[in-house]
Amino acid sequence: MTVMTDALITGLDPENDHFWEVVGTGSIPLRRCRTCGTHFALPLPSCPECGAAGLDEVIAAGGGELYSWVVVHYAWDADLAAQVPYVVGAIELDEGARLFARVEQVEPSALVAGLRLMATFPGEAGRPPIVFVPEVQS
Amino acid sequence: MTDTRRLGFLGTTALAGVGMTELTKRSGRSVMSQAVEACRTAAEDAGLDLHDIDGIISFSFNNDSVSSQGVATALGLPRPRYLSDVSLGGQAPSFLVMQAAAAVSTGMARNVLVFRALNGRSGQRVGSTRAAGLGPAFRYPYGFTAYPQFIAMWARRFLIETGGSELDLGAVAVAQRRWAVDNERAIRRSPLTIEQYLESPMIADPFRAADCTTEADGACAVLVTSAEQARDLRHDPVIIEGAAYGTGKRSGLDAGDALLWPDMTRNYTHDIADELWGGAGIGPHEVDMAQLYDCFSSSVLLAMEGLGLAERGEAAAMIRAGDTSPGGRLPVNTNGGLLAEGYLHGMNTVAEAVFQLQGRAGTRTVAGAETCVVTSGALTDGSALVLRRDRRAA
Repeated sequence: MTVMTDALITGLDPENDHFWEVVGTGSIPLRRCRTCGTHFALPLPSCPECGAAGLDEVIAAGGGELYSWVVVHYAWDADLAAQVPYVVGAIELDEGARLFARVEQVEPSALVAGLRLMATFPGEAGRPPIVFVPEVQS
Repeated sequence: MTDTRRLGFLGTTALAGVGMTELTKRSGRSVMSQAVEACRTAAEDAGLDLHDIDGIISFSFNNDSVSSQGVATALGLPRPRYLSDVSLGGQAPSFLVMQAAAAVSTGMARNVLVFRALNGRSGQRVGSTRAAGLGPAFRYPYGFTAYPQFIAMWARRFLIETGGSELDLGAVAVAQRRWAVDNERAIRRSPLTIEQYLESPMIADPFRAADCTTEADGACAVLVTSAEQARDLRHDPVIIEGAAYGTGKRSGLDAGDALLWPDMTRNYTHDIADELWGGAGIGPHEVDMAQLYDCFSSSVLLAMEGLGLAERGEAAAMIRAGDTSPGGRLPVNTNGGLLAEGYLHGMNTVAEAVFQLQGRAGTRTVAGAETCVVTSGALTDGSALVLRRDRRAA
């Protein structure tokens, strides 16, 4: 499967493209430092915590917590203006990496820091590539 | 912090002149025309001839300005020795004053203009221009595209951790407007009540329109020279006593990238405060005034805490108590800030400090103010100055 939404920024470099290709298959690829164990999402060639170059790719489990969020009421772009209001969250994945992503299926007034979230992958044109929704209680 | 990292230009370099165009929403002029006007005016304001100018440094965002070389050409400078264009945003103004001071101090140039020029409202708008690069690739696909949104993300977390509310953001906007009513340059000059603030439309919750800077067309320049020369010029010298640029670990790929920054309630001011005050030789409780970069209301709260002007979570209470308003014990953003005067990307924040310390801020002039702290930037990296009024030679 290839990456689908026209909003994606690809073609910058092969490692960035790889991130979005993996997202297109329904997974979030993280980098884990072999030296200090830090996880991060940006496709950097070395660890931002300790500088070591040895990294492994691991697939995030998909769960995380809401760190902060913005409710967008005004959008500068026509395609986004049709979507307001929408929520963009800063999500701390359980592995420790932070992502920005859309948050849906929860009223903005019900959002709280620490809310448990799970990643979903709409995989449709015009939809964000990753959308977090409240984790279903087991 | 000891003085072991004290910068070589502190105490021996100065700001001596300011040039500023009118701030408008539609200049109808080229960026070059405004840049040249601001630079020419700054040199004249200092009492220098144009042929005394041998350095220009500027910053731009996504190529929205003109080059220092171009401005030097338009001004007919006979022998430029230091021309530099930096691709940075709001973190730049104080940093560029530092670079100009370093150039003066090391003999690379004698008199350096620092300018910012943009048609920021009628032309390319900083806050909502989509930048290229890897950082944006991790924001734009989610509709996370503009600076009001990026900084609102910090503001939300800050209010959560400090137990604050939207009223804390409103307090900044209301207090600064009290200054703006007396500033003929300000675009937003009508008084603002907290009730009116709460009626302002939501842009990127928790930010309303009233939390956002007023985009503007215009240009601003300041003249940096040696303290020795400044004492023989037209106005009282404003000595650079403290200065720092910096960030922390995991600063990110660009100014909007906070994916790796551990704590979105503390910005660069937290990282550079010790070096800034250590170099200046005064502490945050000894400074008379503050001009704090305020593209958005929350950055004033983060800077007040980061610099130690306020205790954790106490900045809004200080502002509500009137401490930062006209007549208060620590006047802040006495031009109304970028929120009210207009967005010359923080170059006008530096300019207001100079106007104030030279006693040239009209009815806004803070009587007896001898020192001022200035910040540039709102996010993971930024810069700051501590300035002191000196006296001209008799």
